Amino acid sequence: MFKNIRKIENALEISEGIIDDITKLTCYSNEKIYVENYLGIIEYEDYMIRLNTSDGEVYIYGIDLNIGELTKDEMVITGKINNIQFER
Amino acid sequence: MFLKKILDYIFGKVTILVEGFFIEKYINICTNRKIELSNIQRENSCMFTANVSIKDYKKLKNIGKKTKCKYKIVKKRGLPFILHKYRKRRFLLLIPITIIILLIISTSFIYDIRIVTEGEEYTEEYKQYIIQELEKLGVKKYIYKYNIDDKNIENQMLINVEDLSWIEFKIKGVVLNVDIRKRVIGPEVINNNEFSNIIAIKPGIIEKVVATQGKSAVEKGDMVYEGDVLISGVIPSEIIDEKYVNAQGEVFAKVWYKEDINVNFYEENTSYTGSEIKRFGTKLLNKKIFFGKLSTNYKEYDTIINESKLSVKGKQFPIVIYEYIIKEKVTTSINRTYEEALKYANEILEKNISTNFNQDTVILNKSNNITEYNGGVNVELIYECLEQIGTKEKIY
Repeated sequence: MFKNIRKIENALEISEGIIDDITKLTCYSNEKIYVENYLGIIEYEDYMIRLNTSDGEVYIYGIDLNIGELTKDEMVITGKINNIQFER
Repeated sequence: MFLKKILDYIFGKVTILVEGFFIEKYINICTNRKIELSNIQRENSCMFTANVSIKDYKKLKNIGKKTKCKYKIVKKRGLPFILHKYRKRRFLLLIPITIIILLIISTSFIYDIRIVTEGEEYTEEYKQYIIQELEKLGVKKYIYKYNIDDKNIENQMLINVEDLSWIEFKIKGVVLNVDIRKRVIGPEVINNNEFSNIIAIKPGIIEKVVATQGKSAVEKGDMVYEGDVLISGVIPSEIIDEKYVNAQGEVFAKVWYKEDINVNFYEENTSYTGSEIKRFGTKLLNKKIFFGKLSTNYKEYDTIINESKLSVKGKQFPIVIYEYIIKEKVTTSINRTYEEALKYANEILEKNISTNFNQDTVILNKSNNITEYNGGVNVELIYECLEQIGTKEKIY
């Protein structure tokens, strides 16, 4: 499924993740992460945030983690980020 | 971000503290119900704070019960809370409103009119003249500035003031700046399709003839009378026919003015003082009846009786109305010495003669003839002047 969509995107020369809801993580140095298309928060502590996404789980480790903005499919995580971990 | 902060302040924001064991669930339900949380901070293992708008805060009620979390308000900030705090103190609000209204009213009048010009040809008198002309059209100090119909008045000003080529109104706050430019008046256009002579308007002896177009018909030293041709528009030729032109030029001539006057050493003048009494009356059985006193305290007076018929809206009634006017008058006697009489005579004569002068009249000579008679003096004043005596007259 995903491979086919990637092929269509390559053929039409449009950027990835526009047609389907692929999870995007944009990192601004180690201070801020911008997450798009997440499904929900599984765990929230000030040293770790565990997110549920369509590809699996994402772990974000750091110190004093805050959620700056939170809407249905976007969130901004601020704090000192040490580690990002994907798990399937 | 700054804009967002302002919007948050205007619509109001609440900081809530949520306490419970299923905090992640609480956040997830909030996002699913489109409640926007921001600045979520973990306080400890079972507590977090977040910012919510007032609108979303009302939706939080059921979520607390579902997830067995308690929530309470920690901090309120924004305009709605301030307004709520002062909602009963309405007079406090009245002060800023009245200040704003007064400001708007006081700045909607014109306090000063300034004439903006460029160059040195605009004198203060000319500016005053422009301000006077503006006043005639209703533009003056302390008028309501939004009532000025600038385009109409600008056009009217261009018609009223002849030597104005451009005018523009610029309202800057409470000052009306009037930008003006003068017109450069060009030389008079000579119409060569018209044929004319230059003739004399006064008798005199020719001093100088400058003919720029046409043939001069007189020379220096000639005596001319009124109506004589000075510069002819007809140029004769032996070979071809006569040529007609529009004669141009200046003719200067010596002109004499003579006036005389008799001044008595003793004179009596009567004049009205201006105070008067008016009485009205009518006619009954061929007798004049007046209302009010007819006697006065005046020492000398004239009485005038005007007779008219009563008329209302053009219809005449057979009732006669008399108007009885008593005017006070005063007689003054003047005693002059010989010198005073001469001075008085000269003043009057100079005044009379100067009414005949042109703009370019030059006085060459003055002479007095004085003859004394019994009880008075006769003064004759003669002026010898040099002036332009030519004027245009069409041939056909």
